[in-house]
Amino acid sequence: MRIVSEVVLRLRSLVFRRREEREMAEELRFHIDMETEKNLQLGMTRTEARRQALITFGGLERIKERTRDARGLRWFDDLVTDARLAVRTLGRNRAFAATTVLTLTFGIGANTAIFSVVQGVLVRPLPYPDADRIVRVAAGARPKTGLDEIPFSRQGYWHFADNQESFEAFGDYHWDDRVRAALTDAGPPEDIIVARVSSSAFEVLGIQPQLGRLPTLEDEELSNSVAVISHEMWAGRYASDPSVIGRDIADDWPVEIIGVMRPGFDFPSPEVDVWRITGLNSASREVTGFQAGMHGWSAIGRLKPGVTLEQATADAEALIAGFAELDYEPADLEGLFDGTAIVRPIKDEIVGGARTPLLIALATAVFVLLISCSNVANLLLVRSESRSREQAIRLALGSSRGRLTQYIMMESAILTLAGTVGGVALAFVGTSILVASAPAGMPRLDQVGLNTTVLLVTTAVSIVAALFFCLAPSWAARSRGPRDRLRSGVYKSTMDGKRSRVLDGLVVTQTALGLILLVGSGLMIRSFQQLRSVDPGFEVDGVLTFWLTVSVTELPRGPSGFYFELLDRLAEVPGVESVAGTESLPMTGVVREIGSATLGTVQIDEFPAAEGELNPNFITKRTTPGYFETMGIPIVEGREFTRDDYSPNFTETAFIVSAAVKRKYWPDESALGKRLTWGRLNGPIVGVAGDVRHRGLEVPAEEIVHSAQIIGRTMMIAVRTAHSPGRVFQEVGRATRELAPGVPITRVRMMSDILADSFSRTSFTMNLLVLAGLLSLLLAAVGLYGVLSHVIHQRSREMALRLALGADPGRVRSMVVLRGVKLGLVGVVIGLGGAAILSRFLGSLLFGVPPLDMRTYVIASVVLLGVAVASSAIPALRAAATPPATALRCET
Amino acid sequence: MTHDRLELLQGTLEMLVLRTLLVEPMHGWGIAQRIAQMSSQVFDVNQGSIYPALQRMKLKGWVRSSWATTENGRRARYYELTKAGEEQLTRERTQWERASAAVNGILDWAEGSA
Repeated sequence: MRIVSEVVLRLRSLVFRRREEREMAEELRFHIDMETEKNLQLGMTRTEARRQALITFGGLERIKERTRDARGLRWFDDLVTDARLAVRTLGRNRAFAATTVLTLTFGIGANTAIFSVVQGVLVRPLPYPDADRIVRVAAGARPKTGLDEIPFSRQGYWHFADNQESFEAFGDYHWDDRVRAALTDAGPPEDIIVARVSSSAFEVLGIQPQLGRLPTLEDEELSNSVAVISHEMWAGRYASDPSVIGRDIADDWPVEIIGVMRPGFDFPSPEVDVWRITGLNSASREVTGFQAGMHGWSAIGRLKPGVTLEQATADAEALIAGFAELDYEPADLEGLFDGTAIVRPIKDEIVGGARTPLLIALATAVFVLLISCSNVANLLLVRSESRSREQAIRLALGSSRGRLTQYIMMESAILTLAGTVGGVALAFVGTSILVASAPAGMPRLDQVGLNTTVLLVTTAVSIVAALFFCLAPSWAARSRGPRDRLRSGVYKSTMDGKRSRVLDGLVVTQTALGLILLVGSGLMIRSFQQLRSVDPGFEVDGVLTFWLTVSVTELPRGPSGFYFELLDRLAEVPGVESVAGTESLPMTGVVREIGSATLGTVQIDEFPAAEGELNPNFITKRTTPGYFETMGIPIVEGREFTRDDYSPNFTETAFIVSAAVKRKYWPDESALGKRLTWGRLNGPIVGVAGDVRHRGLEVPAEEIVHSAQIIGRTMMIAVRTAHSPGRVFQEVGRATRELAPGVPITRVRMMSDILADSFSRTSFTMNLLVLAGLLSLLLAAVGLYGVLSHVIHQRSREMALRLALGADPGRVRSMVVLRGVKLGLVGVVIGLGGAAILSRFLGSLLFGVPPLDMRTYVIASVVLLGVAVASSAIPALRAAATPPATALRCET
Repeated sequence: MTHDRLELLQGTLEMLVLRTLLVEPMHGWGIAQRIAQMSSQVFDVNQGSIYPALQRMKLKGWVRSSWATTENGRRARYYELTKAGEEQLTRERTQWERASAAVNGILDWAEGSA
């Protein structure tokens, strides 16, 4: 207890420091006056009396010191003094302080932000129990089909489900984000995305709903109309009312709600609002004629304990081989399946595409961190060198080594504190920025937040590193006594070899890493330019797009009637140049139907598929009239669709093919008039359109067949306008709602934005690398400048001597510049090697540029060397400009 | 008579101050005078070291201080012994006597056996 009150009293005296000082001064003055009085009485003169009094008292200042020590908290006092001094000193060395603080800020902030995103997107496990045992299964596709894989057909799935041995649960699902329903009863029309997921697929996932239940096998066998709704839909449309279980979704949609999902459930996609059964597991397993060729189902399975991916893949391949015994057309078997099976953990499926850009972002951040750390190490080493003389003097005057170390630690503590505060702020801001600017379609971003563990770790690492670099030089020099360091002048004109080598090593490292980043950014810039220069085949600017989901009951005159009228009305909206609809706009995904010989995709009458061969697999698009004009796609031959082409019966139609189709099948003759068959439809080619890059700029132009058909599905409408899209859309929306009040209008976007999204992975990576490249250039320049300035300073007396003795200032200058250039050169060479090795990791992000593109490497090297020369030249010029007399006069 | 610095007996300074204050509260100069007087001027130099000692004793709760006016009308800080201080004095005195007896014992013995 005594100790506590003692500490409290000490703290109090710190707080009331001034009062205590005053009182102490008064008290001591009283004592001396009294003693002086006494001496006067003893007969001394006034001066003598006072002098004797002071002698008897003892050293006044020392007593004051000792009293102060006894009174307050000595170590706290020291701390405050040190802090004040450190702040003043750092204020004089602003460049050094700023670089160190910025380095720490960046190191902590940027790395935490990127790590947080990587953790949230790539590392975080999926929210299913033992999620790494869940895999997606599909069959490998023959390259001719143009597909990556073949989904399951009915009979294929049943064959798998009945005979598989690797999975403890195996289930089917199907979803297409174009399958949307419209709900119109409560409030504005809502656009609902429906997915089909079987009870066994839910079993594979192993999740439970928040309310109610999931569909069961019984539901499926009885083909019940049941559905589970998403949490967002429940909260929004049904106001979180628990009695929703058992009700139908809507009056005109007699599907019973049996459950509500937990928030954030995102299989097969976060956008899904309603889950219904697939219909594959009904009690009867009949397959009517045209259904036999339909391959529309995906499957997931949960591996049995102990079963590996390889075993499961082998099992699946065996089952695929068994397709031969099923009800398959031989043409299908040969033409579709290549015999392999694809068994992949679903996490890979979800995050696979995000992996490369994120990992590159990570590597970039680490690189810049390394560069800035070596910069700080550089500056600190240099600084401790120039401080050594001052420290030697302090030691000689009686300071303890511990006290000096304490001061150095205070300096690093201040820098570290500033850097950490900045770093935490940057981490917060940076995470939000990264999430906002991430490439389109990056999965799982909604759950990414600042990861506190990472923040703590990076902070701790930075603090330890900063402390290490602050203390290491003094620790290394502890064996040398003050005497060595007090010796100045010509005898000690250069640093000792080891320290010099470390500095050089750091500069070279910085330069090498900087070059790698520059090469990376150069490659990405060129990729980006190449991508952007690709002609998409249509006029991108000035096209407003949106999706319409119309239920068939809304169309008393049939889909064609409805859309014709809609297009007429929209064409009258002021500002609209042209308007059209299609089932898929470029860059919005592809509707590819897997054709079998019986059902088929498009067959060319002139070139029927040979025995055992499959029909060619074209991209098919049903479009309205005016599509090509609206999209700015040139008609190379023939004409656009007219309304007459859209026959009300379902047997006749007209086709327009892309130039790629004509080139392949009718290279030397006109394609017009050639007949095509699609299912039950048949008709002539009436036009050939220019090539369009449908799937993305990096995919070569594809074979597209447009048909003059309009069906009651989700349609994408394109509106070409030169006016402000916002105003035009308001009018367009109004006109649409007038015609069809219950139709939800969704996905309103400009075509140019859709296009930009398609290469957002590239632009995201490019922006990151360019930023990092510029930063590293700046840091390399600062680092080199710092080192060389210091070297020159150290050698200034030597150089001044040379100048005074008649040396040519030019030679002195070039000596310095040469050293800088040498370091830069070594760094560049090492960097080139590193870049050559690492650039292939950019892999899929590069477009039109090989990883070893000469031009980029050369330009990057030249830029970096230029910076090296400039950073060396400035200190050199300054050195040569100093009159020799000044340099000789000032002590190092 | 040699004038020894008070400091030399750092450990005992506090004890002497406590003893002085046992008589009556006193200001710092007065304590120094009293000690010089009572020791027959043996301890009279480096009086200033009283102050750090007084400060320490204040923190330990053995004395307390207050400002008052002297008979000459000057302001001075007076120190007063506390109960804890009295007890401390007794403790230290006992220790001192035991220690000095022991030391004396050794010195006498050495002479005795010589």
